[in-house]
Amino acid sequence: MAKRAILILVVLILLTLTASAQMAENARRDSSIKIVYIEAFQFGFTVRAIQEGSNLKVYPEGLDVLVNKGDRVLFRGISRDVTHGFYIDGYTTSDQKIFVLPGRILEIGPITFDREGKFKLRCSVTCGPLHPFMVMDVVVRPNIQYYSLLISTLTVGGFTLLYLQRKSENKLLGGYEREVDILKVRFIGSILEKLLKWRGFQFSLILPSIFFFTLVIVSGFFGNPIGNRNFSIAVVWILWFAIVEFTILFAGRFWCAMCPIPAFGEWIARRRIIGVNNSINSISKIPKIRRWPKALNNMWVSVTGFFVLSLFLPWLVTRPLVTAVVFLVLIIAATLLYIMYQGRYFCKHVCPAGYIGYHSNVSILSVRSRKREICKSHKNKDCIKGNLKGYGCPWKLYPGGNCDNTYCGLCFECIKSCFQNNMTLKIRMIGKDLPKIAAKAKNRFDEAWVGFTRFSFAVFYELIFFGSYYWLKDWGNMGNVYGANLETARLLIPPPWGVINWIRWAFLVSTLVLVYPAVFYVFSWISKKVAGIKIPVKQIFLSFSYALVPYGLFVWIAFAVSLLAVFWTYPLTAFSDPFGWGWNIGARFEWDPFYPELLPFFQTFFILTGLALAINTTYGIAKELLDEHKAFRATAVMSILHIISALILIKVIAG
Amino acid sequence: MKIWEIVALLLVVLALALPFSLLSMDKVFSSKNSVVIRAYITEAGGFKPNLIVVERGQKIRIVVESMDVVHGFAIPSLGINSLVDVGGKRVIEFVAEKRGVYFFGCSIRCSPYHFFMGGIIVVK
Repeated sequence: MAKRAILILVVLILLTLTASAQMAENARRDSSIKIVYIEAFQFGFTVRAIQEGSNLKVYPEGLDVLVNKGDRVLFRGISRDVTHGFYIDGYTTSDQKIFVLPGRILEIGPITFDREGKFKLRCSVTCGPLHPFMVMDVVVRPNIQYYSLLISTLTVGGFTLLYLQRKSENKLLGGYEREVDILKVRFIGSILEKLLKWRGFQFSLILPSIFFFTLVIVSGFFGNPIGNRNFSIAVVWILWFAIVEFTILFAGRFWCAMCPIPAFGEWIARRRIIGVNNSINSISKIPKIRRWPKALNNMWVSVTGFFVLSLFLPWLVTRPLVTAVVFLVLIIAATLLYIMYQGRYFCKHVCPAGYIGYHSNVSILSVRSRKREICKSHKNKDCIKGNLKGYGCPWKLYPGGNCDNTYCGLCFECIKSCFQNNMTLKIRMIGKDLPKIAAKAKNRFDEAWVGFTRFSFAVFYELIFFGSYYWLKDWGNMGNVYGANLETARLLIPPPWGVINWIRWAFLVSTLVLVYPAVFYVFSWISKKVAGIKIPVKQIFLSFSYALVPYGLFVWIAFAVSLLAVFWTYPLTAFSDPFGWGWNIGARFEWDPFYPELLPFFQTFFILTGLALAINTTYGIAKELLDEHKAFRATAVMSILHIISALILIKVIAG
Repeated sequence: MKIWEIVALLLVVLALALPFSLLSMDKVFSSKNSVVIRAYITEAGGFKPNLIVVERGQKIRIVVESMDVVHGFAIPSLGINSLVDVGGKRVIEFVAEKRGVYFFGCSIRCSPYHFFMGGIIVVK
């Protein structure tokens, strides 16, 4: 009996010893673990408290996760409203979905943060209309990635300035003046020429986009109320929007050639879809036709439209109904305007996507005449009046003498109508015409404002859509958590505090389009003083603003890259399930970001390309206006502003 | 020349009509031989449909799809409870052995009106 008791005692002692050793081990491990309490809500994350060992610190809302390299972090997630997800770029995988269920505490990790940089904590479970933008920053310090990107920005800026001082005969790829007439290139040229002269070419581009646009409107009205599950949002604001930014770079206004919005008006006015109605061509001689008002002969309506859409952007890009209504309004307006004024005045002066034209001067592709003299000596300007083979330029340009891509819609009517075969398609250096356009720009405040608006909004959108400022998103979203189609349209009525917050948002957005131009003006003034220029500041300000044509475009491309990399599955799934009803026509894809942890590097590549082009373009413009020495000094001043803008962008992306 | 205009016009009409015809093809593309219940938050309509009538002894196959946020699908009297992810599907099969009215409801908080999200299965 006693033996037994001793045995039990020994076993007990042994057990206690191992248990206490285990506990000590646990305690030791726990002390090195940081426990971060994260609250998820529609639409954001916030750190609530951080526990290190027995030391618990409670934080106010709106804090990012800041950890040091090598930290082991255990996340405890709770949800304030509905079910959310949890995904950290590069640290968790999307193979296994993590559900942060309301009413429960979810433990994730411990995750060892062994790579430094800025990573995003994203929601991986659809939780409402703004779900794709439910993001918080996780910064692993020391943020070497950020510092290296800052240094490369300064390096690129500096080297571009050095490159400007090269000898003028040292030209890259034959210099700015080089052009390639691609209709004369062997093999491809003749095929391309036949294609461009084929009357059905534009129609064959427009036809599929009519189908998709109708699908956008139909699915917007009747499809799933949640944006990322609806064709209208997923395809328009992720795929189309991103692809158009790239198209501008390679083919200028090529989108305008296939855009279905003005097509109906054009066909009604012409009474033809494919063929040429020659009686229309002579219509310009009839005096009773309405003239486009001179006051609107600019981009003011267009830039205002872009601005107004931006005021409602969080709604526009997440609510299918809003997108569908906007497109319907645009189609009706374009059709009416085309019938009233007989020309693509809507596209030139009204369309909110008129920025495509502004940026098109960066395009490497453009329609030009082969020899200007032939056009000059040709009395019966067929490219303006039209003939049996093609219409006179619907964009009301003189294609023969055109050296500006802004208002050329690449409809190729002039290539069809020119029987001298003098119109062609040319490949040139990026932004070849820009210096001349900028130097000539007198009082083109409208185009300057397109540049300012586009540029400052690119930075702003990067900040609100991929930054952790959930309250800012909420301001623009009017505090509304519901998606909407036609059936649930009433849910769009915002709460009163939402409207008040939206007024703050509107104020912020409006300030943005005034502050950046003001800063730009100050820098123009300094460059005038530094370089000792006699031209008025206004002219320097307007001319130099054209440097934002390449810069703005590349910054938007950087934004588009992040859209595509993170959300590429949404549009692809939308083709298989346009109404978001759970169909599977083709293939469904689970949300799986494409190397999101490398995104800052991809984006910086485009931003720095834009920076280099901006400095180079500024110098080109300055050389048109001034002598070489003064031009360089003025450029150096302006490039400080451009470099600062790039640094701000890098801060937003990686800092 | 004229014939091409007519062909083009027909193609345009087709391109305009196709999306509308797609809209009415839900029966073709969604799960066959089963009752599809689409779950929306209560504000947007709750379960659609929320009334299912079946014969006694019939084998029922219910496919639950979440449309907007994550929902749950529970039939308490049958001990069925599952989470339905957005974009995912849950197939629930059972034989209705007893006559009566079976309540089903959402089991995961999905909106302020979550507790009003429910429906019934009537076994005749």
